[in-house]
Amino acid sequence: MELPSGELDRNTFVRREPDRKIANKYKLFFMAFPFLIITFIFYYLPISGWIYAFYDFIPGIPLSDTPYVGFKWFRTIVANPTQTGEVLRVLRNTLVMSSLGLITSIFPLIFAILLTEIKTGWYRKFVQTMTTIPNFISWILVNALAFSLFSVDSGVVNMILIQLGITDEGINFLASSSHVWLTMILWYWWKSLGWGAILYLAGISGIDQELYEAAEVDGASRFRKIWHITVPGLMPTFFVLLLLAIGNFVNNGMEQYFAFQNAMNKDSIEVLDLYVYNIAFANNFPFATAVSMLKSIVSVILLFGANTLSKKVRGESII
Amino acid sequence: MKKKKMGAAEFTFQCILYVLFGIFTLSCIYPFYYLFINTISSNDLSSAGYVTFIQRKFISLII
Repeated sequence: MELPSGELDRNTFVRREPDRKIANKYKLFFMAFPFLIITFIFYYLPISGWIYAFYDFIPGIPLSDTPYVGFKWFRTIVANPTQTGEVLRVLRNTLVMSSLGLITSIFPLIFAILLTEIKTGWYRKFVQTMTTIPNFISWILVNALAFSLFSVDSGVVNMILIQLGITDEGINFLASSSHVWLTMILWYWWKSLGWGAILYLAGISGIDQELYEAAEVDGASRFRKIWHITVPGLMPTFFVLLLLAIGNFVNNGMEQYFAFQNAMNKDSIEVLDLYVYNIAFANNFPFATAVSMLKSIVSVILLFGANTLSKKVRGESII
Repeated sequence: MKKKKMGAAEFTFQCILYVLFGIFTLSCIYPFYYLFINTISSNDLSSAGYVTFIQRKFISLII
């Protein structure tokens, strides 16, 4: 659209503005409307399921026939030491996994910055394409791949280790109780590093080239150019993503941990979401609902906390 | 613009970058490649774990 210039044009523009503004308002609303419906159906309607936390609900018996028990299930979280221990263990796993995720959320940034330093065009494109692929397969398939590579009796890694004479018997990488958090975060980045870097690569290509040229004239080294031009240019993106990550601090998803869980690593792999799932399908619906309700409340508090912090520190926020 | 000659530090830096990205890219491709070569290899060999880097003995489709 050409911007109005000159006296006459500007007047016509101003005169026509009110009608257009109202028309635009409706247009935008109707464009957003389907998404409002989706949000309502998939994010607000399910909240009605919270009602199960207040009943002695057993699947199969209608809710109207089950006794109302008030806050009984919330009290059981703290009433029994074993139960409290379980919940604390799960909380610990959740917090550790999320913290590791937050700390390592700088990886895609580093990946993108280093990738743009590579001069060979085809190599850069090849790396970018190939590292994006794992993002498109589900965690179940990632686990299948992991199994075919790391299983004790037929995994490639163990085969190679045995042939090289490093070990006599295969090492059971997947069903081991040590380094579970570390391997989980490694799998996570194996899957999503290339994908996460896309945003930053776009950000880097959006940075004005003149800045680099000016820095070059001033004799800036490569590191100086990265530190004083690229990194500040990417910081807004990084902080928005960080804020969203903090909002999702306690819901780190269950697919990955569900796919990789087994009897050996269950103690350190069970995060809140997975715990809720496991409890619910071990036939304790009300308790699982109560735990997930607490999770939602903590999540909302964390998001608003992070938002306020960001508003104070950086002067911008998402809500 | 004339091409600048690479210094030793620059050369090492580029080499390290190429190797690092190469390793990570290989680790991303290899599992898929591994599945693929196992899919088209004979069942005996792949279940015994002989198919690791190259495809061997096509699976017989006639049963």
